[in-house]
Amino acid sequence: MDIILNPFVSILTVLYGILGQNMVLAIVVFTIIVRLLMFPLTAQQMKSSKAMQQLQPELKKMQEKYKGDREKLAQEQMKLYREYGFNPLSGCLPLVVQFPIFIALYQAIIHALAATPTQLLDLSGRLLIPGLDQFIPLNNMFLGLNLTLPPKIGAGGTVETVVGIALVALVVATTWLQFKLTTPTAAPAAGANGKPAPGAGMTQSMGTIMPLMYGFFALSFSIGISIYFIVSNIAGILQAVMMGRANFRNLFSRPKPPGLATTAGTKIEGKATPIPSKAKSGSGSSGKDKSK
Amino acid sequence: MKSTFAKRAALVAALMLTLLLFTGCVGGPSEVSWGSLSLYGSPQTILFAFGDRIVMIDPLDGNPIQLRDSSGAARVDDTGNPRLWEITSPAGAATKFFTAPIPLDDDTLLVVSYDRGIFEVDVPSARINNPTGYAVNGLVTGYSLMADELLYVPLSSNSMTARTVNGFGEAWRLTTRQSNWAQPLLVEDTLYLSSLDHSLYAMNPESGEVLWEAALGGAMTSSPVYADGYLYVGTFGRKLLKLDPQNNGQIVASYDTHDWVWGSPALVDGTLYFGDVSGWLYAVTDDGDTFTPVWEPVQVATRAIIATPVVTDQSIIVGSRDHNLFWVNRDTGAVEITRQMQGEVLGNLLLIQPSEENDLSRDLVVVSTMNAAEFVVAYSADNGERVWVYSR
Repeated sequence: MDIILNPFVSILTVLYGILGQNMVLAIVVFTIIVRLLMFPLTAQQMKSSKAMQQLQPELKKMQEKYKGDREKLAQEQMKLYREYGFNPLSGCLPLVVQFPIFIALYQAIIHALAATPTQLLDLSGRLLIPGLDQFIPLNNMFLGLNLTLPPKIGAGGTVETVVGIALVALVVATTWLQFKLTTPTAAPAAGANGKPAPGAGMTQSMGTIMPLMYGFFALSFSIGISIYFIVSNIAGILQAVMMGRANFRNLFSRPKPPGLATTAGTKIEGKATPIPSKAKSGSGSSGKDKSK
Repeated sequence: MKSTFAKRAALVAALMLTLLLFTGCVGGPSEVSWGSLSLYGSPQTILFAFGDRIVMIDPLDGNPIQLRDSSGAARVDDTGNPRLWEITSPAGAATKFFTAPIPLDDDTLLVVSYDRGIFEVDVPSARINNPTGYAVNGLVTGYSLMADELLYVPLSSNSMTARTVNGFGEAWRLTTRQSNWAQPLLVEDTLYLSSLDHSLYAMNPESGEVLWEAALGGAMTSSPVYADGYLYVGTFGRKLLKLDPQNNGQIVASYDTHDWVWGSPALVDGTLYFGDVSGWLYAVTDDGDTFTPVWEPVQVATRAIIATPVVTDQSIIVGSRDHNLFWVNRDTGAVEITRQMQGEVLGNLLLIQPSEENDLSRDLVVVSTMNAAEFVVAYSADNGERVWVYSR
């Protein structure tokens, strides 16, 4: 991890020096830079997610058709993927690459802020560029708040409480917004029994749990990390919008009871959705669903 | 239904795993620090502050001191076992003691905690008189200094507070641009504070008025050393500096180091001994406007040396984060003895010499580690022989 972490800590410190020794600005700019560098991977992941979504009805049909024959099912799935030019690993690989980088980014902020003697001691070995000593320790105050500490809601003064609540609320709101905008519209009912697709329930759960979980992180971790969460979420939303993959319809859609789940307004009654239009997964739709 | 529940449970578990990955290997702000050792009382005992507790140890054998009543009989607890001299934080493990206790009077110690203020400890009963603590409005990582009825407490919250010993009300407060982790130093009528904000402050100890502030180009985590009218301090600017306090802290001499200097230098017989956070050890003499090395710097350790070295007639003894304790020849800089320990050596070292206050027959160097199996270890200062270990 140090191979990624130490350059990150060094770059963050350089940005801190360039940006008038303002840690918040450094976190904002650094998060945006990392997001931009990861853009090709994010785009690939979004594209793959969209394509997978479009293949879902066909895959569901296959699962039912070859219920007792796993081998045949796998063969047919691969055939379908080939037919549509879709690589199932293309969605996972960007995630695998991105995950350690985002963990390193998160840890770089923790290490650079160095709240405790041990963390400050560790920092000495992480600065790879000569001359950065002059900035150590980084100024960790922002609007009268200590960036290394969790928000003091109720325990601090009025300003601290208000800013603390606002930060947590922003983390929850931007996480929810990003999730909603970047998640394809819930899959329609697929089985003959009219139950919603299993993935849809899971997606709904994640849409509720993730913002709450990040809100909990924001309450527990340092304020610097909350700023990172907010900037990262906003950058993710902007990326999705710029790529034309922001699913604004999701913002206002509500879960529907079994048998009534729809895609693009089509009523589904215990019937699989028709096969998606062939191999056009690369084009952005801004919420327009092609599986009609 | 069961299947849905299982899937959601799996989802929560996956998210929790993500949380663990996110937070892995990163400590929180209240992370435990290294232990502090200090000598106390007559006959002499060792006070060891670590985490949320303070224990009293016999320097002769490393055993915890038993509590005794006025007649000298051992006190026992409800189960009939001897009661040991041990203080635990009233707020539980959440509170940390980063610094050594300070004697207030014959029977009272002051303990400044990381985030719960100041506690008064009744020594004969090993009890805290004020379990809620006297608030200091800040986090305390650095050692406090008591002098002339005032307690000077350096705070991580970008300030230093001076408290009256009677009631601990605030007499004055100095605001700095960064945390303060170094113990203030009082020389005659001037109080000095080296700060992480790269400045050394000289103050009126009674009013807190800043007499001068010297920007030294690097953060400081340790107190300056005063000798013959000059101050010596190590900085994160990779320098040991000699300052003239009569001339607003002007830099008189400077010596370049390989890495940050964390601890105060030891000044013995005109030579300054100190280490840096890359494990280099230095010995320099003050030649007016320059420092001259006694021998070329030696990288004795592979990791940080942060505590002030202990200096004996023949050796410089230093502990390192690489788990080792080194005896280095004062004249040549050669490492003569190495003792490997189970934990990182980051806390201060104590040199205890035989005296009327103890029953020791030889000089002991006492060191603490971050490992509970070797919390405190005593070695013969002369030959490195291990004498005793205090563990939990």
